[in-house]
Amino acid sequence: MYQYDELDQTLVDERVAQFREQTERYLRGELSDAQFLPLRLQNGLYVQRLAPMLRIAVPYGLISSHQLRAIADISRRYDKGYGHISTRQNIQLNWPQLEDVPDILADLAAVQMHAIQTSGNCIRNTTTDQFAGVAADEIVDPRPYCELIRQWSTLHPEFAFLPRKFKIAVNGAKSDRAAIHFHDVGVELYRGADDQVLLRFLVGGGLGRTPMVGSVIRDDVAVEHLLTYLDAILRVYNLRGRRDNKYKARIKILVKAMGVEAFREAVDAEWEQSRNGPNTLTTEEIERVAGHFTAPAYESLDMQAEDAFLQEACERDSLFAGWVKRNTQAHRQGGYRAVTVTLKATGQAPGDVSAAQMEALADLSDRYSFGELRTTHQQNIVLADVRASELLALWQALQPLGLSASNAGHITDLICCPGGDFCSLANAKSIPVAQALQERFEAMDYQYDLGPLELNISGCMNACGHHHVGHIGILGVDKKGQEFYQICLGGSQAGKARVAQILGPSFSRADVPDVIEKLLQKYVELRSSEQETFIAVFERTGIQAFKEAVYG
Amino acid sequence: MDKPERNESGGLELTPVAYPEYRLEEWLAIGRPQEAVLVLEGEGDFDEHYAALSQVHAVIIEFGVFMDGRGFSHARKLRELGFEGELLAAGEVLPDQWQFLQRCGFSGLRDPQIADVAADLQRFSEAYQTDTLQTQPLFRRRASQ
Ligand code: SF4
Repeated sequence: MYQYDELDQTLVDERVAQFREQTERYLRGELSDAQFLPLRLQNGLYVQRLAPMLRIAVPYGLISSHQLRAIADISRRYDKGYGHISTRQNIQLNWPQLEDVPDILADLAAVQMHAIQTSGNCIRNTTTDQFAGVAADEIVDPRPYCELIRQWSTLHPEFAFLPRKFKIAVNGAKSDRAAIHFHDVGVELYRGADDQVLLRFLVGGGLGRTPMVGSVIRDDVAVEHLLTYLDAILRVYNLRGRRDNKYKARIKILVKAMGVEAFREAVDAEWEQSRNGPNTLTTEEIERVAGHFTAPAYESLDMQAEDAFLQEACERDSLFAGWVKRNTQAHRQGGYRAVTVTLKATGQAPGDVSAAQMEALADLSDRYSFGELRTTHQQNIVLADVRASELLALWQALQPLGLSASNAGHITDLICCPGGDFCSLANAKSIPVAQALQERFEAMDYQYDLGPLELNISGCMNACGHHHVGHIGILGVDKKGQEFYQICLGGSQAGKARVAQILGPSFSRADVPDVIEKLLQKYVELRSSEQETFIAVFERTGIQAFKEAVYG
Repeated sequence: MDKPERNESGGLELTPVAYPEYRLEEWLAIGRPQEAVLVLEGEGDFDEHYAALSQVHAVIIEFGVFMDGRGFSHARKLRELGFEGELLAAGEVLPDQWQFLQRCGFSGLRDPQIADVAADLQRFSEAYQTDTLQTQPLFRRRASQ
């Protein structure tokens, strides 16, 4: 993964010194709440319902064992001994004290980490495929490009006070695991005729109040223009995006109002000025950064022996076999697999991970996966490079940690925002809904017969739980001061990107598990075979049958 | 981290400007003279006027609220078009914004009190991007080291 040089380190250290000074001025009363607000937000510090929340950047989801141990340590010393993986692959601490934040940031800087631009109206942490660099269907490794974007966007002087937050995602694989259709800017990397890397830019996708699928504005940009083209998009947005209404301030509203064609022309007019200028990437720079993302020292394995070992272990233990089937992925390197450790044990808030678990995962990654881990937007952790013959030992080591659930990609591996338990914007709680669903479905033998299913829960319209793109989405709404839940169906973030449709009137919290169960019974009734997934059935039959199943 | 040198006035505000100040409409109405100090609203749309504006003696961009970052882009556009005069930030700006304002092409802050605070704040000694002060991005400078 990327290692800071002296200059990268200097910038992060200076950011800590700057924030320390800002915090002191605020505490001395030299900065008002309103003035301190954007300054602390640009450093990841929210003030939530109960306490401040600090969001630590995990650039494109990559974290070393050394860094994860440092976060575990920070969470013990300054917080309640746990962290939370967000749907943007970052790690959040829910209980730090404002006075301690400069020290926390200094500790993070010591392991090449920071909280720069993890909130506020600026360019946020770039996200990508959690299987980058190892996925069997990868065309171009997105990580070097994510790092180039990270550097370009970090402390960008022109775009620190945008109309609204700005999120970029990059995908370089055949199937899109980065949800590039649902970002302010999505970048797709592919190869052109002579094998050279080309960029396809999508703009104006997003979730929130007005979910929209992004539009392609260019699909043949040579890779050296990555940063100049992004600069041009951002400048048009900064100058023309709406600032009178925060619900209409995202770039999607601007693109819709201008029309894709006019927006492209405006971007091109800006790009004319900067194209081929000094910000044009050089081959040396692309190679320098790519040099940080080379393959680890894989062993050349006897693949048959690896497979035989694994198969035998699976035959001996059906629980293990289920975990291998659901929680491990094909790998481009023969004899290796990528493992998803789900943080969705029943009784624990989805995405929460204790300090002890972080330390244990760090140790396991040192032992089995070259000391690197990835956070995922499904709020899980991935060990990307595990030998097939070591999966059994890894799984056994995960069991006493409560991290061996074999539910990856299934109903109880749900995505859930912090909701009303923590977030001051919430209309309703989301964690208790997640827990009720996990309790209901975990106990059911048929959870896994239901096949892959994405269930996403948000506590309000801001959609941090990505409910619009869940196969089943649940949204907390406020009805005359009461918490209710609206259900939507058929969202999809990959392949045919699509926003879910609302099923009908909302339900009380107590009713939600029954309603979901009815939907799933309907699905089982409708499917033509066990291979037909929930989302495939929905695409074939539409929403009506599901409506009838629930509302009669 | 560097601390900038203070100038004689105690702040970062530069030489007072000698020509009359105009709002955009007035200036357009009198035929866009170059011997002018233009006072522009950060919220404005100057798409048609950047080229002519880049020829005037000095420009003052007034920020309505400090959260509104349009002024940063206006400044960069003027500098990219070759504007060499003084460019002051006025209105609601935070001293903490000064280094980014400066990197976007501002030569000073109009309010001496804000300039005074800004002069004492921590500054970044490096930057990844190009800007008005630094014409080569860090990656090109790294390569030539
Ligand atoms: S979706 Fe709403 S309730 Fe949930 S974290 Fe986001 S803002 Fe808070």
